[in-house]
Amino acid sequence: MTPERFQQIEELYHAARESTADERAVLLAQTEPELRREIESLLAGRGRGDVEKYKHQLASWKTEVVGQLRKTQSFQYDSSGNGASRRSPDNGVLTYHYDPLNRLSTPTIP
Amino acid sequence: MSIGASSAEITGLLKSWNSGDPAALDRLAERVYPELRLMARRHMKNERQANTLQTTALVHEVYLRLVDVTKVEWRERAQFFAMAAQMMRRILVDAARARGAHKRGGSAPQVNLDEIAQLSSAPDRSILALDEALTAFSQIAPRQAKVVELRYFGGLTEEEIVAALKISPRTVRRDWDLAKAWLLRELSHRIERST
Repeated sequence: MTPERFQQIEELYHAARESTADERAVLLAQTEPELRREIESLLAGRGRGDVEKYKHQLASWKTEVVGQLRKTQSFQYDSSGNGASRRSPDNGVLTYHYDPLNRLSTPTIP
Repeated sequence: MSIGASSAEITGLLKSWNSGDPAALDRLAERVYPELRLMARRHMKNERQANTLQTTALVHEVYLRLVDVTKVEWRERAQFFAMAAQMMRRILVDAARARGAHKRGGSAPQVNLDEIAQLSSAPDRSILALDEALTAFSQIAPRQAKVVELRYFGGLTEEEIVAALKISPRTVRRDWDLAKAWLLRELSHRIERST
């Protein structure tokens, strides 16, 4: 692993740790798939007590987040591996839109 | 050489190292390492003891024995503990190997990084697994790996790590958080591979 790559991981990991669950979902959805999986696997290792758990189901491109408030959110990814929508009990489905360069433009709440 | 002279000499070396003389560290280590190893062995050999002594206790004991504490500033004390933490790691790894502990095979090694390493007479595969994971991690993240070494093997407090590594308290907390997540992930991969 290059120092540059580790620095990317480090910055994103701390940003994810220091955000709310909603901010984190947007942050991870904006991140390229390989880096995102790296961050998710680090966050998953912390899954004890009040820390969020990330369950990875690679086959279905689905990540389930079990949050501090015992809410369950699920992410459905599109074919490019980006987060396309998030389903949670409190605010329904959050859909992510991407521009032609595959960058997140807006999450919209229906 | 009397204890007094030795203590004055060691205190002097600690001060020289702290004010930027790298050669002083080597000479200091030559005096501290055998003492720490002897004390650790003595404890680990004694089967009648409860065998749950934390490495922190030993680090403090060797500090009190070898250093003239009235002449040392708290930053220098933190530097001493940092050096001793590195030594404790080596002593524990060597002892685990000598007792015939092996890294792989059998049930999963349990490492609780939130506790401080303990001196035990039992073979300990988790020490070897952690040592290996920490060495690999130090190749890509030397500062973060150092934070783990100081905290886990030497029992340094956050303030002592701040002083020893000259980084901010926030950096210490973030480094520890990331390092722990990283190492637990690496160790759980190791378990998957070995089973």
